Amino acid sequence: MLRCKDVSKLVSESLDHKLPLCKRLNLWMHLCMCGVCWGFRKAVLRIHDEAHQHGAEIEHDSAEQKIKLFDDSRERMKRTLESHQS
Amino acid sequence: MDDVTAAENREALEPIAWVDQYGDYLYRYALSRLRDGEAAEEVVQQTFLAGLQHTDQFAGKGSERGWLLGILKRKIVDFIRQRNRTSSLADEDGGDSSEAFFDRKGNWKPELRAALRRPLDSLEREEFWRILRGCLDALPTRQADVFVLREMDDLSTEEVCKDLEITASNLWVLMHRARLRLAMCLKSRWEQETC
Repeated sequence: MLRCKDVSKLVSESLDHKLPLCKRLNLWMHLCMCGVCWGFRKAVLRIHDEAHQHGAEIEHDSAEQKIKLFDDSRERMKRTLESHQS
Repeated sequence: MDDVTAAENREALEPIAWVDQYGDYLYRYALSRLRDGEAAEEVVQQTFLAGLQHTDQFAGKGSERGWLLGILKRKIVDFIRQRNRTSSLADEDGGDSSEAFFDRKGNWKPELRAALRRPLDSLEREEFWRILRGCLDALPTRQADVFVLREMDDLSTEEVCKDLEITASNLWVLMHRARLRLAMCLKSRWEQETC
């Protein structure tokens, strides 16, 4: 019988690689009976989805629009580029 | 024909204009991955310089922004590898932090159980991300970095291991610790805010 600690590990690992069948079965048996681990699994899945979505939104430039470079950083970058261009 | 187009495109590149055109976008991207304003600025600067030195590699296919983003991604990975080189797996984390969450028998500590059972469904996306960001900042750097590459960038286990020069089982351990801490932090911070 798996302990909650082992289950938390398997819940995490199942997102990183395919678990062997027997581990998957044990994991599901535990999850069906343990509401705490079930809650942990749901939280981990939500974190997984949100992080992925947020990462993609930033890449497509549809989030965090308010974050901008400071004006002096911008000027510094231009000066550095200028000095390297010549 | 393609050569001519590429040459024309090369001539059309205006590196100084990149700062105004793409600076904010690249900075946002870098900041979201590195969580450190100074570091983000540094990699954006490096990206522009590398772009300037390698304008000949911009084939004119695809967008300038996409090309610069590709460079930035490599700079971010280099930066992350560098900043984690000095810390070893064990010393950063103070050993296995999961002891904080489980009793000696390996069950969840009683005081955590109610929070874990409570669903997060009513937590809106924006709110969720705001809290999670704060929780990421509270993680040891290496854990947070691995989490970001794996979850935000959706890199495969193999890619992250290669980029950070760690083994797959190291990666799984780091991800487990990160997810444990993030889940607990998220639940407890949300609870504090709603009470």
